[in-house]
Formats: sequence, C-alpha cells, structure tokens
Amino acid sequence: MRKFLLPLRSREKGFLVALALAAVTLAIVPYVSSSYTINAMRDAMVLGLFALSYDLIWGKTSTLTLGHAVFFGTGAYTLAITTVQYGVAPWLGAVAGICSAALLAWVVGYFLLYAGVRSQFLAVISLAVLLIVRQIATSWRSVTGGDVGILGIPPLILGGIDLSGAVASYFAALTLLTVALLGCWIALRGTYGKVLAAIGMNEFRAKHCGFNTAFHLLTMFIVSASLAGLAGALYASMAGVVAPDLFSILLSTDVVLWVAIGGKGSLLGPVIASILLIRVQQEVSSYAADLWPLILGVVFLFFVLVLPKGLSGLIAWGSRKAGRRTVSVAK
Amino acid sequence: MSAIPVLEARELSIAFGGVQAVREVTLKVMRGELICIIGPNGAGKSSLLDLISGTVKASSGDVSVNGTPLRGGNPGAFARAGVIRKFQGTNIFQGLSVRDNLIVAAAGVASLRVAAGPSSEALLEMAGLADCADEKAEFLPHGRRQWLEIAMAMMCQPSLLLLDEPCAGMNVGDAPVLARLLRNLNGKIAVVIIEHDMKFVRSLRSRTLVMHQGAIVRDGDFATLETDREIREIYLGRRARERECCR
Amino acid sequence: MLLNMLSAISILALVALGLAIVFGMMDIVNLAHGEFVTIGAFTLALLQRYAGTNSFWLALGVAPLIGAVAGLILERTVIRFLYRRTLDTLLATYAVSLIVQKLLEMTMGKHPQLVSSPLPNTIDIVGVPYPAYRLLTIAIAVIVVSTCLLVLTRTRFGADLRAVIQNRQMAEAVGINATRMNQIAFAGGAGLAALAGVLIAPYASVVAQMGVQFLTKAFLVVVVGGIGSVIGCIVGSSLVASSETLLNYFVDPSMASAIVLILAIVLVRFCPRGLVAGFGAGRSLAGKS
Repeated sequence: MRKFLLPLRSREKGFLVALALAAVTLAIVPYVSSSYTINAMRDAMVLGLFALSYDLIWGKTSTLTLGHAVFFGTGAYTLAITTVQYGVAPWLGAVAGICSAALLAWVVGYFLLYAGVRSQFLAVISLAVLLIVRQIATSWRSVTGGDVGILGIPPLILGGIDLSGAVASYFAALTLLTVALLGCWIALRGTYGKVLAAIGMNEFRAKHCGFNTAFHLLTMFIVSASLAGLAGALYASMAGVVAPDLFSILLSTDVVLWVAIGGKGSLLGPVIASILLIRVQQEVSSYAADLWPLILGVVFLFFVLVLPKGLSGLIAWGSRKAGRRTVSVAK
Repeated sequence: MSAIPVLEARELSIAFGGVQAVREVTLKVMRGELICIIGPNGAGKSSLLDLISGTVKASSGDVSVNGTPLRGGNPGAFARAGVIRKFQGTNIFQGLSVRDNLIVAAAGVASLRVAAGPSSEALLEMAGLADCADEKAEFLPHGRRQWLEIAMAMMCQPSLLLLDEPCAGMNVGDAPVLARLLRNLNGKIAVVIIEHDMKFVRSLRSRTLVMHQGAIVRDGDFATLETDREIREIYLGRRARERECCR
Repeated sequence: MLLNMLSAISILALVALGLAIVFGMMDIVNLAHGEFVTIGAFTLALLQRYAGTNSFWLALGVAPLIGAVAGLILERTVIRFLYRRTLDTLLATYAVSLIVQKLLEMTMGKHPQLVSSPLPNTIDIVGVPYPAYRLLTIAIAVIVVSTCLLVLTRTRFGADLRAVIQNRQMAEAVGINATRMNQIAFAGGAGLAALAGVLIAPYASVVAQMGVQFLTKAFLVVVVGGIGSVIGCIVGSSLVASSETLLNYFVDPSMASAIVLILAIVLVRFCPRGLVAGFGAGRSLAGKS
C-alpha cells in the first residue's frame, strides 16, 4: 500500500487540484440548472466514465481498439436482462454487467493479445466483435428483445436509497466518476503506470526486460472493459431501456476522439473532453441528427493529420518551448 | 565439480529467408565468463545472439539457462532467467525520462531476484547520465543512449549479459571505460559480446569465438587467434573477394 | 448451396484482394475500403435510376473506374501524408469512411437504393433452378481475380509490384517507382472493391453503411489468409465465405458471423501470420517477435 502513497510531485499535485476543481464545479451544476440539463450532464458523466475506461487501454498502453462500445453495451444489456427477466436487484445487475464485460474482454483479449495481434489488426478485429455482438443482440429476440430491446429496467436503488431521481442519480454518477478517476490515478501514478507506458511505447524492448507483456495488456484490457461495462450498466439503469444501437460504432469512434483531444493517458483530460464534447453533440444533434457524425469525422481527420498528440500534446509542446527559452536565458 | 553453465546451447540452427544464418552451434558459457564473438559481416553473430537471448525461436537445437531449458521466441522468459540483452541504443523507451527507463527495466525482473538490484541513482552515475536523468530519453545523443542501454541492462541483474556491438557509435574515450567495466564484471556476471572493434576485443584478453557462415570455426584466446592464418583469410579473404566484385 | 458458397467466396475475394495488396505493400489498413464497395453499389443504383436496368453492363465498367479514381484521391489527399504512421492511417481512413457514409446518407437518403438484377431468370443446373445472376457474378469475379493473379505473377508490372511488397527500399534502389506502385495498387484495389459493389448490389441492401460489414469480413480474410498474398486471399476468402454460408443453413445469420469470427480469432492465436505466408507486412502483425 505504501507504494501507492508516494510523495506528490508538482505535476501530480496539479492533477489533484484539477480533479477537485472539476468535481466541485460539477457538484454545483444541479443547483443552477434545469432538470433537462441535469439529466444531460448526468448522461455526459456516465459517458465520461466510459471515456476514462478507454483512456486506460488506449491512453495508457497505446492499444487501439475500435469497438470499445461493445463493453458498454454488454454491461447495459446484462443489467437489463438480469433485472428485468430475472428480477435481480439493480446493484447486483450492475456487478453482473461488469463481470460480463470483463469476461468478454478476457476471452477476446486472451486469443488476440497472446497471439501477438496488435495495432491495426487488433483495432479492426475489435470492430468486428462489436458488429457481431450487435447483430446477436438484434437477432436473439428471446433474450435481448431484438430490435426493440428491453424496456422497463427498474430504477437504481442502492441499499434502500432511491437513486433514480434527477439530482440523486446525478450525484451518484458524479461520485462514481470521481472515485474511479481517483482510483485509476492512485493505481497508475507509480511504477506500474510507467511500465504500461513502456510496453505501449516499445513492447519488444519491454519483453527483453522480463515483462510478460501480453499478460499486462490483457489485464488492462479487462479492467478497461469492466469500467466500460459499469458505465453501460449505469446508463441502462438511468435510461430505463436498452437497444442494439448501444453497440454503436459512433460511440466507439467518439471515445477515441475524446481521449485523443483530452490527452492520451492523462485520465482527467479525456473525461473533461468527453463531457464538453457530449454537451456540444447533444446541442448539435437537436438541430440536425446527421450533422454531428460528419463534424466528428472531419475533426477526427484534422486531429490525425495535424495534431496527433491531442490537446495535452499541444500543451506539452508549448511548455517544452517555454522551458528551452528559460534554460537559454539562465545560461 | 561440474558447475551448471549459465548458458548452454546445443546444435542451434536458424535460417532466414532461405539463408542458413546459424548452423548447429554448440556453446557453453560458464558463470562470470567473458566471451567475445568476432567474424565477418553475415557470419551469423547477431542471429546467434537472437537465439540465445530468446528473441527468435531456433528451428532446431535447444537452449538452457542455468540448467533450465527454455523455449525460444519468448525473450521475457529468458530475461527473467537472467539473460539480459543490451541493444544498440535504438531500443530505449523514447517517451520516458532517462531515470524512468532504468526504473522500468528493473521492474521487469524485480519480483524474481533475491537481492535488491542496484539503485537507479548508482547506475546513472556509472553511465554518466546523472545530469540528464529527468530528460526524455529520445533527446539523448547516440553515444549516451548506448550507456543508457548498458545501465538498463545492469538494472535487470543479469547472470548473462549479451552485448551487440557496444562500441558502435560510442565516443572515443568510452571504449576503455566499457572495457574496464567488463573486466570488473568478470567472475560475477557472464558476458558475451559481439564486436568488430579489434582494438577493443584485444584489450579484453578474453576467450574469443570466431564465426563464419553460421558456424563457430575457432574458440580460443584472442592472442592465439590473432596470429591464426585461417582467421586472417576469413576476414581478408572476404575483403579480397569484395575488391574483385567492384572492379 | 455449393454455388451460393462460390458466389460468396468470389465476391469476398474481390473485396479482400485490394485490402490485402495494399496492406502488404504499404503496411497500412484502409478502413475506408468498405466505402469503395458502397460507391460501386451506389453507382449502379444511380445509373439504373437514369438509364434503366440494363445499364448494369455499363456500370460494370464505370463503377470500377469511379472507385479507382476515389481510391487515387484518397491516396493523394490523406494516405500520402501518413506513410510511416500506421495507426494514424487507420484513424484517418476511419474518419474518411465516417465522412463518406454520412455524406452519402445526406445526399442520397437513408432508405435502401433501388437496384434491379439484369438477369432475373433462373437456369437449371443439374435439375435445380439457380438464379442466372449469381452465376454471372461468380463468372465475373473468377475472371477478374484470375486476371489479377496472372498480372501479378506473369507480367513485369506484377513482378515490380511484388518486389515493392517484399522489400520497398530494395525495389526503389533497383529503380522501381514505389510511389507510383502505391498509387496503382491503391486505385486498383479500390476499383476491385467497387466492382464487387456492383455485383452484390442486386441482392443486398444498398445503404450508406453497407461497406462496414465487407470491411470486417475482408479483414478477417486477410488475417486468416495472410497479408500481401493473392493465394492467401483466395484461400482466406474461401474459408471465411464458405464457412459462413454453410453455417447460415443451420443457425441465424448473426450467429453464423459470430462463429466465423470466433474461429478466425482462435486461428489467429495459433497461426498469427495467416495460413499462407504473405510477402510483406506480416511483421507488423506479430510484432518483432
């Protein structure tokens, strides 16, 4: 445990301060907004949790997947199926959602990662997995409700507290998001975070240091999927319905952009980027439903061609320039 | 009293794209031994290193580290068993700081080693990198990268250290420092080193293997080999043939 | 049933061929490859809307051209800047595919386009009536793929192409214009995919998103069959398409796809290089080990 409570460096203090600021700002929202905004922000935060989960796999280990929404959808559907068809308590349904997502990640990840499948191949096969799971969700009517999906998911009641109201669910989401952020940060700020970054940078070299790289990648894959499954379960619980379009290519693409813009590996960056961009998306979609994907595609392309390191890369580049100037002045 | 060799390779062979790179090489490396491998380009030295470091799986033959047979193609297992390879300066973790490179290197085998390894600060000193410890490794010039690689290799507490042309790209004054380091390791950590720099190899005064066309053709101390006619021909013969081609 | 398999195999081979060659040559995956299929299908739909059902034959020639041009444009505007950045090419082409899909949706509408088969009759094969059109598609696909195989193995141009796949630097050193080869391969692959689009349009649902399923299937073919190898492509297509067609008789189509995917994933675990040793970029799949 002591390994995780190392003394803080200045950049790390920055993270905690930013996290605190963000949490406080978000906590104020319900008191100054309409019910619509509260719900919208709550949904954005649940998707922020999804963004965090993707940062764990792409941001921290540079393992690109294009079908991350499959875990989101799996978590959502598992909660729906267990609570609606088997009458399980919502919190247990959420746990089941996490487990099913983790299991899917374990199976798919084991076969792919231990075979040495990486980069493009992994990305496209993950897309294939998403598409196929969506197809299954659409055709296996008896279990998944087919095209229509599952309705009437019971409200989230945890230990007797009703968390289904607008404000209550908002704070539930905010708490979970903050706890998750803090947890990920604590777990990864030490050596293990560096190890993962090293594996992502140069897996060949990492192997020669003695790391069983496939194992570590699989571990992060499962953790990332579990968090995504939790986000999906939360979403299902709060929306009350699930449908096959939760297995969304668009969402899987969105999340890559959120992490790219927010800064790969910065944990907080993707969460904030996702919340902001989702709000923008919600507004744009109310004008023209098709416009957002188009804008997304163009922004994406721009980012890849011009700014491959994202916003935090831009900031790092800027501070490097500033740093060099100070050095030459000091001389 | 027969000690278990740190590394024992038996009849190792590998072919790349139709060319037999290593031909049934048998080799025993004892604890703390220092061995140099020399030979003309294309003799199979680097391929042999690939095989004994576990980077590549041999098509036939087997490798044992400290008595335990290991399957090739799994460099992680070899590294955990103590066979650590130093690369040529291009295989560091570019985006991490110099110090973090060392920390990560140590973490790979940390759970398997009995004693605590050398501290990163000590190795930064040894490698002359203390002044740039917090800089990103990608900004290091080539010569310093070689030293970073050496430091990373030492962090892994090797029982066998494999060096592939460590003098290439090093600053002029560094070769004797490296030679001194290797002589210090003699008896404690086995070292197998591939090198072209004959002056350096001579200064090590160690057991030397000569490779030619995938096989080990000579195995003895360097002083004897230097005067061996056939070895001269292997080296010079190639050069003479090359001169023929360019006419 | 056998013929169903054959038609599925041949179409898939057409689509996958372009992907495999480009992958082998340039070590990049073009995620917009599925969109070339869509472009082919839409070209047919448009032509038939304004020039009648028999413009199918015209489309056979026009669509591949349009596809090739689209491929060339893509290569010049996007891929060209991202040669060394394989993951970025992936993301960029992904973005392009998204843009193309949405543009098509916005201009042509969301409902399936109307496409009719030029040969609506059936022919009796061994006493069993079989749609003549499917036979046509098999014939065309087989001819085209064989031509490609011949070009690649028998002609000077094909030899140059294979040289670039095997070792780009060496090929350039010998005087082959690798950039030009890239463009030709890219455009060619796109044209092939567009042709597949035309062939499949009459019995598929022609919507803007139709390309994605082809992309993933073609990808599985490349993974199973090996990269940069035409034979591997054919082998891979045969395996993937025939197993899927076969399974379709026993289980739900979506389960069939799932099973094929699972089999492919398991296969990859044991044969990461694919079944047929490809030429070039297999190294990128299994990393340096």
